[in-house]
Amino acid sequence: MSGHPPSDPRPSRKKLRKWLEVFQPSKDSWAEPPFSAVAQVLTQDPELQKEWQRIESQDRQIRSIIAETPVPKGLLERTLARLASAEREVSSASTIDASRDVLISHPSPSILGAKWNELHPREEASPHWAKVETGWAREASSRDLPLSFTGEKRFANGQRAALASFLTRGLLGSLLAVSLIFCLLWPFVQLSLWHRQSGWTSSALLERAIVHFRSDRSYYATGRLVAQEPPPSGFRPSCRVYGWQVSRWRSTDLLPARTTIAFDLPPVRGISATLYVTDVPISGLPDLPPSSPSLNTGMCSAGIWQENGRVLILVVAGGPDAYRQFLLDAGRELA
Amino acid sequence: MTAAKPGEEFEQIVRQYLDDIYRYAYHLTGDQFQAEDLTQEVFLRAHRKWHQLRSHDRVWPWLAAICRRTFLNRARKQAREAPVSPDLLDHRPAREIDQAGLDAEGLAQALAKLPPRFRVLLMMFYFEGLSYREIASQLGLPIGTVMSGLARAKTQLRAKLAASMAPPQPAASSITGEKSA
Repeated sequence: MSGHPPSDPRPSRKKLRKWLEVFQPSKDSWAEPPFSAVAQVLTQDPELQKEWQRIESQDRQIRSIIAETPVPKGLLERTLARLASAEREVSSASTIDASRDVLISHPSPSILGAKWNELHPREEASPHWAKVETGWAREASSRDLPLSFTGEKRFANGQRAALASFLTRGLLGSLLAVSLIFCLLWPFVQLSLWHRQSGWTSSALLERAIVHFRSDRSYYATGRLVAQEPPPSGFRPSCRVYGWQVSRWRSTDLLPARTTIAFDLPPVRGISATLYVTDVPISGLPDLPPSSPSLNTGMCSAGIWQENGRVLILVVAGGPDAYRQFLLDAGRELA
Repeated sequence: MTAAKPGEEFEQIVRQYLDDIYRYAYHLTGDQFQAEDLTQEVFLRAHRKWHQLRSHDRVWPWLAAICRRTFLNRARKQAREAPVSPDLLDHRPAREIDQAGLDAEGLAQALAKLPPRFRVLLMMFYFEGLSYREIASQLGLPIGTVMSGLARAKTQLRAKLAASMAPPQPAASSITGEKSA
């Protein structure tokens, strides 16, 4: 170190080590700063050279260990299944979009404007227009003429015509308003029907329940006490299948336009779980909780079944082993 | 609202990069179940945003970036960073690590003891093979910050690995292949 000229101060040991640590052999070059300075010192400092060899060797070994990390069996299948489930959900949603698009894209005189009038001349297309206009004409003429010239009979005729015209206009206006409201509300009606009828599959419901479970942790065990306020009728977790000591319940927004009650179950051996009971109709579900999870994401496992016309989804924090353990410890019979 | 449906093309991407994303996730999280969950989430997000990928030649950096961001978001929400012990903040010489005890699990456990941001820096350096300049560019951080952080992260990792392993036997070889003194 003492041999260096004062104009070229040698970097501190700490700085040299830092540069050696961040040197990426496949990307960095010893010829470029700041590594050129290290390279210069390396040739003269055997101790630093030895340290560099040690760092390089350790880095090589760590890279090799990471690259050869074993991958769990079945991960590809599980990932593809989860993607397929997500894709199904997206395509269901896009079907609704498509039907909404069709509604909007129906040819409408008001939208087509001049082109529509060109294709459908007014007098041919709608006789109602002519009737209304006649009514207006009669009304106008009767109003403009003084009573003394028209006489009582003419006045009565004029009043009848005005009344008929008023009623016709009112009727048409009401029809138009109703049609407009119907067109505006139709997509929402369809969306609601979709949710109420066949929109939900068990896989989509499981997926949603797990996402909800993961994001809903801050509300865990914040529900109402069953002892003080029982859950809505028909949304009780049945003791026929399991013997969990359910003490709290809360309403959740798991499914839009559907009632879903969440029961936060007391942890069993540190495994926490939530049971969702919802009234969405799904056919083909088992009558008992499945012994293996129907969906496993690694962090959470979930099983779905039905009881008394309700769909029950048990979401457990942990993998399949945690799910089975939870059922074994907390349950009585398995499907 | 209609999401892109990559179909077979995306399935091919999953097959091609699943193992690497899992390895990335495993060493970021230090846990097999969390890694599997993170891996699946990475591909779900990628599937949703597939149409946003400008160049299909850069799938791996794109997936790796999704993996990093998802991990950091989770870490921010779930866990507080472990406090850094002051004795690890200095730049000490590289410590000897017993080669025999070092495997993927041991490495993941040692990494899991580091703060999430250090894990990200180390994985970008070791697994993505990025230089400190590239890391700084991708994370939008000053070069000096990345340089110091990376050096510190490597020192801490070495210390954790050395601490977690059994005391080296006299005849055991070090990671460098040299005989221990």
